[in-house]
Amino acid sequence: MKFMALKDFADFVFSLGKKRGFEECQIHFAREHEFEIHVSKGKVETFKDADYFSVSFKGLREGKCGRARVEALDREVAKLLVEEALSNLQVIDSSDMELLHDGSGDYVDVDYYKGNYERLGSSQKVEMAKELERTALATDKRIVMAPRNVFGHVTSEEVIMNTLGLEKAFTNDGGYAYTMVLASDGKTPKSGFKLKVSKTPEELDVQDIARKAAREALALLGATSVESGRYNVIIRRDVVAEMLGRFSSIFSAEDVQKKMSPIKDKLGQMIAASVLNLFDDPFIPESFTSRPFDSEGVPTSRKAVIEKGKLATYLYDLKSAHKDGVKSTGNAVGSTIAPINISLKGEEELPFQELLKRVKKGILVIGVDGLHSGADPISGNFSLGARGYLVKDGEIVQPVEQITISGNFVDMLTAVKAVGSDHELNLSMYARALALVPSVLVESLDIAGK
Amino acid sequence: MLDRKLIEELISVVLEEGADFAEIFVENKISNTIIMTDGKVDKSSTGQERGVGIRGFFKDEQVYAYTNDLSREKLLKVAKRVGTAIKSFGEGTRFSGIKKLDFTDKHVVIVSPLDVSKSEKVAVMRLAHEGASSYPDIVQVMIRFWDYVQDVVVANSEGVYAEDRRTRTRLMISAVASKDGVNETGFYGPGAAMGFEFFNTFDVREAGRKAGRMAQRMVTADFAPAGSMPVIISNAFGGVIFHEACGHALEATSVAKGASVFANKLGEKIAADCVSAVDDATIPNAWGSANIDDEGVPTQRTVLIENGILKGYLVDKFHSRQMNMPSTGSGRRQSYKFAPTSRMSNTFLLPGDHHPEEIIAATDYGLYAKTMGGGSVNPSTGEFNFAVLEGYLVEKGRIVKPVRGATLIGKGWEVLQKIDMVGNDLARGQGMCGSFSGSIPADVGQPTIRVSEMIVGGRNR
Repeated sequence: MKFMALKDFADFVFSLGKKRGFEECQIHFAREHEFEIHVSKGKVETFKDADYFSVSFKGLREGKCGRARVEALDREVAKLLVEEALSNLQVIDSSDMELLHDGSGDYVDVDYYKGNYERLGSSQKVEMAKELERTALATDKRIVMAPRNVFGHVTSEEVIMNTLGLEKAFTNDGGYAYTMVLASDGKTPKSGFKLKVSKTPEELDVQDIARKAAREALALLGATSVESGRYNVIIRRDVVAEMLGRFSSIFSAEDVQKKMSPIKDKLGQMIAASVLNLFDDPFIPESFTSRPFDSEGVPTSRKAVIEKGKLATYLYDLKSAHKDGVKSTGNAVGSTIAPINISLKGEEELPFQELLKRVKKGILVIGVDGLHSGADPISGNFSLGARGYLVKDGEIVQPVEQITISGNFVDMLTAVKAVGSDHELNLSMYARALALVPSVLVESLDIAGK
Repeated sequence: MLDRKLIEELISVVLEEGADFAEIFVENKISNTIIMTDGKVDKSSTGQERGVGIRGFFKDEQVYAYTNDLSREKLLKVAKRVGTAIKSFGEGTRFSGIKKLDFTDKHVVIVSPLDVSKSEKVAVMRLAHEGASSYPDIVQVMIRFWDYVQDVVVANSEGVYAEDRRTRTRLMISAVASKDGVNETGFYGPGAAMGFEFFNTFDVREAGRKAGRMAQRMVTADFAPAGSMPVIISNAFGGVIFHEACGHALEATSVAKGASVFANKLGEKIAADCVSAVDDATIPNAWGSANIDDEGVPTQRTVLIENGILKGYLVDKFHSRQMNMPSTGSGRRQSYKFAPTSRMSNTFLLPGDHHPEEIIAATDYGLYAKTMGGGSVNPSTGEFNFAVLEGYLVEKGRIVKPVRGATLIGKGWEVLQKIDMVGNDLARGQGMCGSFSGSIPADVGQPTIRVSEMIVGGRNR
């Protein structure tokens, strides 16, 4: 983005805003370049190469905030931004004070942008996606199809400016590849899925991704349901990442203030097993969601959210922090409050095989379905479709499907018996974050099956 | 929104580079979201999305690009990029200009959201808030008001030029009840392809009460039992089971490449005799309706299953090439940021003979799923799951008590065969459906049905 053009536009909007009675104004520019390719049966099924630009405006008056968002940069939309924001402000009757940040504080400079993905040629990218499919199909005769073989990368650029003197910019990039593989023994098909994210294409081993997806599908052949009951459960690291993401809003101070979190009034109290530490770490070098400031321009920082089982802090944006009389933790993400990157560490960590050995009769969960519908962050309750393996006396004995795991997220954190040492960076889709987390062993969860 | 001459030029550029099909999609959408928490409006925002998507095919490969820089220079560059990425050595396709597609607007809007003040919208939200708060243990009510006006132009190298305006209005009501440290949520989210007149079609306060009542009942309920049992699924949003269990696997996206459990099964018996289902985007003003799809094809009513026999798939333009079947007007996308693909619109099971009371009376033991939440499916294996927001235990033909926290799982192709009773009370409910071409409005629907056996993910005694 051309900085001067943005600055000129912002100044124009700010002067317009002041004329219309806003006390302070802010503009957030975002540009994204998105590339994604889908290959199936050796053909390029979808090839997407796109640019996108947006401008978000906030105007403050008497502690209230009017918002508007457009996708262009001309004088006509400048007027639309200001007028719409004003009409939005006029219907607000909440007495919660809205604020802007003045740019104070320490901004940690990490090398967020690498550019290696953008330097790849189209044919190299197509080749990576094709390699996923080729490798998956070559793994075993029983791999009958790899319906989705996807490679993509994103570069995002943000600039934020306001009338309090804030002026910050940063660019980030990263890529991903995933494959979905079907295995069949002539009866019912089983699917295996593997996704990897990375800062550079050099760290993205597509053959490894394809083999892992294929092995997972193969291992599930012959899977059956199990008897309903309470079992020890090992939750594999990628599933831990997804679940932490889905329930991350319980840490949002706004949700706590609105009585929509199961850990309301729990600050300083035990909400998890004492072996657990949970961090918000905005500076993980391998993560493409790492960033020096949040959506309000407040510096991000590394902090423990759970320390040895104790709730150490909620996550704040400017508004919720003002309400609680504390400082923002730099966790405004879009219009919500969320961790920037999630990181989980055990006080003591065991190799994955050791976790398995500690299971007498249990389930190793390698995938869950329905997190968006079967998990409720307001109560903490979840009931999810699941698949994995039955474990007896420390050994995997058979693949399992058509079961559900049910419980309460906070109870589950408390019931963690041991933490693995198999940390891996995974996508935590619901928090729009990446999670560097290991597998965990949980004392017991409810399993429904036969 | 974009000069027609320029659109023709863009199509020509994509074709010149070797594509055998080119499509231009232009979108301009104004949306308004207002959030009321605890009876106070705490967020209101307006958004304008404006951009162009350019797509090219060569045989069974496709390239898509979008931009929201609408300058002629940039658009020509993007069109060239699409063409070049295809890199074919085709003969070149004949293109003799575009012609306007004429159709009658079936989804007439009376009061456009653009002509309604935000304070009028807030007044509606207050009614919903009042209704939802009217139960003793409700501690929080959140009302979200969402409306938009989306103008689209779709033009392609087959000569189609179609313009359409889609207006949608939705009210989403969430109520949280809290008692003895337990939180439970109730939700109701009615919506339609209508303007502000939508709020004259139902009692908004009662809609609020519906969400409040659900939270109130669930907060004092026991957990649902775990295990396999008969499940009665109520009408309207209960249709999410068909949407997940079967609908997605009938989309060309997974059928064309043989990755669906229902691929190559046309004319075969895939469901119990009492099961018939359709997808119908022509229902006037329904949430998932439109005059044309996002590929400029007029929408239609498509019979999917008739008396248990598989009759049709949902087909978009790209996959129609591989399947040798015409488009069913099912090419949909969230916005210009997505290439369209085959998607559902308003998809529902057709009614049968039984009164819902009869179905409950005929059930000795099981779960009555009164209100469903969302769900998801893997179309390749048919495994689906969905959440029960409001459930009741049935014993000896009677509803005995409310139960909470249940999820239903199963495999679509198995469940279709296990439907053993179909009610006469067809109704539809509104949802957002997420898939490869983004999140789009879709109606689900069904009469009350019974599935003889399903796994209920509750808690063990």
